[in-house]
Amino acid sequence: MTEHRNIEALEKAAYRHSYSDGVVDMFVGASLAWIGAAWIWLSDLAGLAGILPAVLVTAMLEGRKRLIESRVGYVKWRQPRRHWELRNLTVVLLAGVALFALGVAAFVFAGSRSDGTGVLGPLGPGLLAFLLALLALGLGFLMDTPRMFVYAAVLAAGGAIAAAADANPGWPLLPAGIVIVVFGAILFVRFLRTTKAPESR
Amino acid sequence: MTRQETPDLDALGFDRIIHEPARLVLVTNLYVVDEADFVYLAGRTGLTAGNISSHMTRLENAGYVAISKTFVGKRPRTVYALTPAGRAAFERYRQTVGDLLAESG
Repeated sequence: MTEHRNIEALEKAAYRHSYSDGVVDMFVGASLAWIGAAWIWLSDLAGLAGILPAVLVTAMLEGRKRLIESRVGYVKWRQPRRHWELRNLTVVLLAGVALFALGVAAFVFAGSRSDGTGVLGPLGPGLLAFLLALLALGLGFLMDTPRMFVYAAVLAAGGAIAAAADANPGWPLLPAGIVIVVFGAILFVRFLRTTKAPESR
Repeated sequence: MTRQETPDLDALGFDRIIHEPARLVLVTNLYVVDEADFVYLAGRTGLTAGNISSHMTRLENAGYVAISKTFVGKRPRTVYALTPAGRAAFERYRQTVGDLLAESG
């Protein structure tokens, strides 16, 4: 505990620790990889690929709560922290919806023609990855989660490569999803090793 | 060191209930949250079940901590929270330590 020089740092470290299990990362990464793969190999059903993660998210959160809470324990944060969390999650959610709408509008109204004459021009194939990178960047700042910057960099790089190669928009999502799953798995293994389930009282 | 040479904690204004290291760690961790259960505190402090239980009883008797016992499914859960008196005592303790170190620095 010597690294916690003051009360604020202690609270911040405790809060970060409660989200350092990697379960959400693994879920989001697997979802991205699934959507990317569906876009590439099941192009007819690509639009429906997002339904599966949306359906599974509740089960994931419930499973995480059972698995993680038995090891980390129950904690109710102070009101300023709860307000901060709610405000930032709301901002991220609204930003996500806005970015998604922007992406859809860009495809529908502007188009991404293969000859590069659409408004999106050559950026079209990488657009979704760029938007997700922006979202990850925002999450990294708002939630004070540095690993989000790595995810944003991977997504942006994938988007740039897809745009340069005029590839299927699913391609940047597949490797980025795998990278996020790997990060999440590393966090999860570390979490299980360092957080033993104490005896219940 | 004889009894006479022992620094008089009361004269310095230290709260003996909070000043004990294990209790200080427990109170500090409770101060940054609204409430937390035994598992959380054990993980954050590294204290054993017996230690936590005995120190929490002492803090409860001093009116600094409220203890509630519930069940989550079939699992018992003991939840601890600082009372307003406990928060005020911890803030006084911080002030005392700060003042003392500032004067001696």
